[in-house]
Amino acid sequence: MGEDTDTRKINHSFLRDHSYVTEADIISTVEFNHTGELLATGDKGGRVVIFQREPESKNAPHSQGEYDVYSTFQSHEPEFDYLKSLEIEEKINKIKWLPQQNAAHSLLSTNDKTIKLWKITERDKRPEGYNLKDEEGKLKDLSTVTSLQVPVLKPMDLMVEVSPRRVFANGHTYHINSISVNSDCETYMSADDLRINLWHLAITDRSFNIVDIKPANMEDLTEVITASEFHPHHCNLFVYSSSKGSLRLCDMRAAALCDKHSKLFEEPEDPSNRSFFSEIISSVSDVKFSHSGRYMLTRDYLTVKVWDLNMEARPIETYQVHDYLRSKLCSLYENDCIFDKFECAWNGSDSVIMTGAYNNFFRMFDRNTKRDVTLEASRESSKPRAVLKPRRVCVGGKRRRDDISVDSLDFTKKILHTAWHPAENIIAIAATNNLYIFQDKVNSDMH
Amino acid sequence: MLGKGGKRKFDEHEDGLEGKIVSPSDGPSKVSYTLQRQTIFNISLMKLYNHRPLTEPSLQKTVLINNMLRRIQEELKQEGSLRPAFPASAPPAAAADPLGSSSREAPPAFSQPAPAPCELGGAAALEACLTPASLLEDDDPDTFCTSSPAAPARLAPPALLPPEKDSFSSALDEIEELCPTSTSTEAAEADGPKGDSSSGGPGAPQRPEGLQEGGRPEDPKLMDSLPGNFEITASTGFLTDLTLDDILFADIDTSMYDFDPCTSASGTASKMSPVSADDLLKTLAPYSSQPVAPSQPFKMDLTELDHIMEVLVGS
Repeated sequence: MGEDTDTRKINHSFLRDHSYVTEADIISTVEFNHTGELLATGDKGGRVVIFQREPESKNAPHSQGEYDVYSTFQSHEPEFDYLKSLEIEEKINKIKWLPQQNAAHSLLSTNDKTIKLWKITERDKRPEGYNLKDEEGKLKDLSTVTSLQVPVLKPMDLMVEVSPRRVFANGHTYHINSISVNSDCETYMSADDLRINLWHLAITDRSFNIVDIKPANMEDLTEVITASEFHPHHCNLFVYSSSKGSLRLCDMRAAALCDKHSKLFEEPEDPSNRSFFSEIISSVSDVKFSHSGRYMLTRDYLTVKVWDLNMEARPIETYQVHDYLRSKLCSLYENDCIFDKFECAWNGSDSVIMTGAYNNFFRMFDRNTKRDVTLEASRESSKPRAVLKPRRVCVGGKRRRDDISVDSLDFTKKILHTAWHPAENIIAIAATNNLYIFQDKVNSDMH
Repeated sequence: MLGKGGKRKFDEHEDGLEGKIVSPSDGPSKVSYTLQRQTIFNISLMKLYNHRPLTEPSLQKTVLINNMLRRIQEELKQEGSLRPAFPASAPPAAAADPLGSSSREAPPAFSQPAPAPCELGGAAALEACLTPASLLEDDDPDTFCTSSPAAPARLAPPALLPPEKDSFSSALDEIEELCPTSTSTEAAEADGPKGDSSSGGPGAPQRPEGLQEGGRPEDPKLMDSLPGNFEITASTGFLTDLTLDDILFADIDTSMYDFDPCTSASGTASKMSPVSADDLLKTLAPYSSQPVAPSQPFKMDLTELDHIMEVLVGS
């Protein structure tokens, strides 16, 4: 499987037709670690591929460190739920890195039902000079051993070893949509459609339920949990979003079961924009705290919104991602695109937000200058190391030369998963089965 | 599949049916609103029933589709309660085909799509809602047109629908409240999702159920009937004065619809078992997120039904 991972970055020009994409290769999550040195991706086939940034070489000082494959492993396997006669997908829904506490790296990966803690260690030395074994490991003929020697550590080719350290199973009846590591580095939470559980990283046979919105009668169910995250600094605070577009900030100090929110963030519906699909497009697909901890970023189907934790009544900023789709909601409902769950991301300084769209477009919004840009992640439209050209979707009226019309957007090419390096302007974009990593040129005019 | 109509282009359809909610007092817009609502209704039903997942379907998606159906149902109920006597209105829009979906089967029998010619925009649609009979006479077997213009538009089946995720009982509650002979609609519901064109016979009389209101654009009460909130209220028997049997199921074996066990709320599955176990248990399948199998209760042997009926009545 190691050789397959490199295909992600190799330009297979004969594979332009997306129907040749193996479904197992579709990237389902992207996550930088806390330093940005490592980038983990999970795919539908249950594999995790970790990329490592090469240290900047002195030979080419203007070319910043690029990401190469560091390790690949099979995180989850498909399972079968015998009670319901349904398959449990091995697709990796989320990966979250643990803060690094020693030489090893650790990450949590989850599919619909099971969370696993993986430890990634490097081995670049091996002992040589055993007394009882020879180089290949075979036992020596003792009669040939005449003297004792102390084994010494000799350098070897770097070997990355990944081992599962914990398996957190059977905690969820419904599909896990989020995991989030607490700032205390001891606990983490996992959220499914109706419940949120709190786990200790070292304890796998027990978890605490902290949110439960399952109604007594399932027929009364009208709202589900869509995403959740711990506050980056306050280990007692977390937020979860719902399919009705509301955010609930909960304080774990208030009660063991945090069904009662401390703050409810909800924007009243705009009556002029009301349609049959108002509820569906208001469903929050992703929520992310800012690095500062002061703001939250949410993504619903057509917009990204920035919320101030101090103001519950409405977001402080709203950005239109692809408002031209508003008139196409019926078709998008019919082909299920309206249920696509786009993610969103902050940059390191919380000044720019990014999210994906269709046609392999992704959008960035500068909160300070209020400028926004649409870029495309595709092999055809950009050569390696070329500066990305801003794209535009025209909605009738004047059409410039390179504009794309709304009707020619490819809705099968969706960028759902994006990640931003925690400190630098490096972004990782997952476009179906391809991973694009873009770096900011110092002299570019983007940001 | 589309019948007489030409293949609809994406743009045309978008212009006709997409967009925001329009004021219901506006004639053609009201009709297009109704068309859109019916389209969405049909699509939602198809989504819930046609899905055959190997893995568990997404609960979020199911909940959102359910909410959509409930909302439309509420709207229909409110509009129905405002106007107890109403003319047959414009036929609902074709659901899947104009939207470019490939080979989707006909949507549920009780909310059949109109043939493409019926789906007229603007003034033509207004004409349609005022004279539905002329449209309904488009004799297209694929689209289950019927020639009963007096059929009331807003009828039980849409209100019967709330497709429950885990149990059938609340749907049956509403069925029971709305009409005494609920098995017809139940069967229709069962027949609907995978009803192919060959079920044009039993499907055809279901046609008027799909006819939606909207024929009175000048009714000022319609303005208020567009609900700002989509609270689900307890279902009321607002259609009890209608005789569904006569209007809807004239062409179908009515012996099936006299089954008393089918009107009771809970334990339906077990009570159904002596009657048509396979067929009706299949209809319960969607509520347990199992793959839905088409059922054709109408095709049951009449003598067999009579026999079973005797057994039930006798016991």
